[in-house]
Amino acid sequence: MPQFFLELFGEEIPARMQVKAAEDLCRLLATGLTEAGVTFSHTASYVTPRRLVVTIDGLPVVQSDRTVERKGPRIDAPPNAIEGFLRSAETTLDVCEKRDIKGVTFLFSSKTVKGQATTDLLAELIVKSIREFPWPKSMKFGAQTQTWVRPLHSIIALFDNKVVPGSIDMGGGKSLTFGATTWGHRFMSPASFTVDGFSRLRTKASENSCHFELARKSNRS
Amino acid sequence: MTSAIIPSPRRSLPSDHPTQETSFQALILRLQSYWAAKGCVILQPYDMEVGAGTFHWATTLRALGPESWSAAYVQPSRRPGDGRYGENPNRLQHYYQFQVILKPSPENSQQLFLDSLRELGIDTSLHDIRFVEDDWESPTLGAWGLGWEVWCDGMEVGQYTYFQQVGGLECNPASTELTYGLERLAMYVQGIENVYDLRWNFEPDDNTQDKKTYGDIYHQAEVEFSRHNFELTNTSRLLRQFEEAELNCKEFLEAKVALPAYDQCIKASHLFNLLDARGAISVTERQAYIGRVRTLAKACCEAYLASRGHGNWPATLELAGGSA
Repeated sequence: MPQFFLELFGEEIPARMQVKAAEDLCRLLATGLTEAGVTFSHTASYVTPRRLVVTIDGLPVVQSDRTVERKGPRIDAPPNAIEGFLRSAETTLDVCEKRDIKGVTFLFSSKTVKGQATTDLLAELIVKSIREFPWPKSMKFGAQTQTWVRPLHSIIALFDNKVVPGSIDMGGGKSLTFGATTWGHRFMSPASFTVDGFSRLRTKASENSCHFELARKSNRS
Repeated sequence: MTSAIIPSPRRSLPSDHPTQETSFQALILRLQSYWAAKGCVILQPYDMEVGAGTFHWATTLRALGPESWSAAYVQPSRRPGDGRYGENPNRLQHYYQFQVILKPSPENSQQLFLDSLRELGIDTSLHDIRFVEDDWESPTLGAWGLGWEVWCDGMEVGQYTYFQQVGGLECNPASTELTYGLERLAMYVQGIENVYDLRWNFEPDDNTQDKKTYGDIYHQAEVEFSRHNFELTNTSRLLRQFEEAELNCKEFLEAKVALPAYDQCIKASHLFNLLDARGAISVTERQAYIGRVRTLAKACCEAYLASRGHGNWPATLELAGGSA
């Protein structure tokens, strides 16, 4: 089953925030996947002073089709309320389920939503996780409007060893496109290098004087 | 901002570049040419008594509004309460900061700072350079930002801050402020334990110049100003001067001249520091005085912003994509 791997690379993260940040990033992504009905086998998060890394293993290539249910008005509600519900739920009265709740009958619509490609879902979740990130303190950088703990410079997002197509708009004319390039130790090995997966990153980073600290590992089976 | 407390160097800097000049004035000249080459306007010090380089209008006021602005300057900084009668090898009531303001923050802010250390002869592959969380806040300026102390082998050599607010106003775009405590940095680079022994204008093997140390130039001032700050100033006159400066500031604000008003605000701020050094201000009064200066600073910032806005932001940069 394919692996997802994310690295957020930027200026140093204050020491006291590093481990929790890696865990938070992992939690935000895992929660997003679970809410979307996507299963995975296990997750791990890693941290170095300049990067947060999350891996999620055992993901499907496509999200399963889902049934989305919506509760409507009472069956004896005014006609325009019922019409409004049918219109917004894109359904008709005869296909709606009539369900009894505590002696009152309500309309319910249900719809099958086609599963998204996991890579597209991941692209959305990366952006959402960055937007919602719970830093204890964060800042704007230059003309950017997106806040982060310190300047955020680049993002690696790989799913099944391929770059997740996508980007995040940081505001002020700046956007970060997901890629596969990162950097070694600031002083000992400052050159950039490209990776095709987490194990490659870990090996190459280690060769370039950066050692990953495991923030958290969890298994879900 | 970098405090006047100058810890003694843990060990002297190995001569990474033995041929490079390390006198106090050579370090200033090198920083100036480095930042000039990066596109900074090289300014001279603000001709007012200030506690830190941040108080120069070139930082406080120019950090506001959308106009681009990069400047570097040395700022003599006065902290009356830090006087030690010339007897403490690490503490001064008058010292120098080298200040850089870059707006909007360049993408490579941190790299620019590190390169400047290399320029001063600190080889970053031989020394332990560390970034230590140090968020900055100035209650009198109503300003804050996030940033770092930069440590070299365990000693602070500089500081940088990503300004978020000044005078209670959002910085849009945000700028980067870099501050070097020059004495501390020079002591480190020269491997000297007593600030008064700093070589001001000569190199160790130099026999051609009239050699001056930091002590030759500033020791007498430290002794005399310590007496001045702690013993001689007349507190009732200082109080009157504070009130006059406050009044002047308000009048100039009414006339919508932000820069003269700001001078008076800074004057009030320094008079407060002098009163504080004299022990003339109680703990409860302190907050009230700081609040009065902050009110002036905030009004000056608003007046400055309004005056520039009225002129349609003469130096507005095209912000798309930022700049380096």
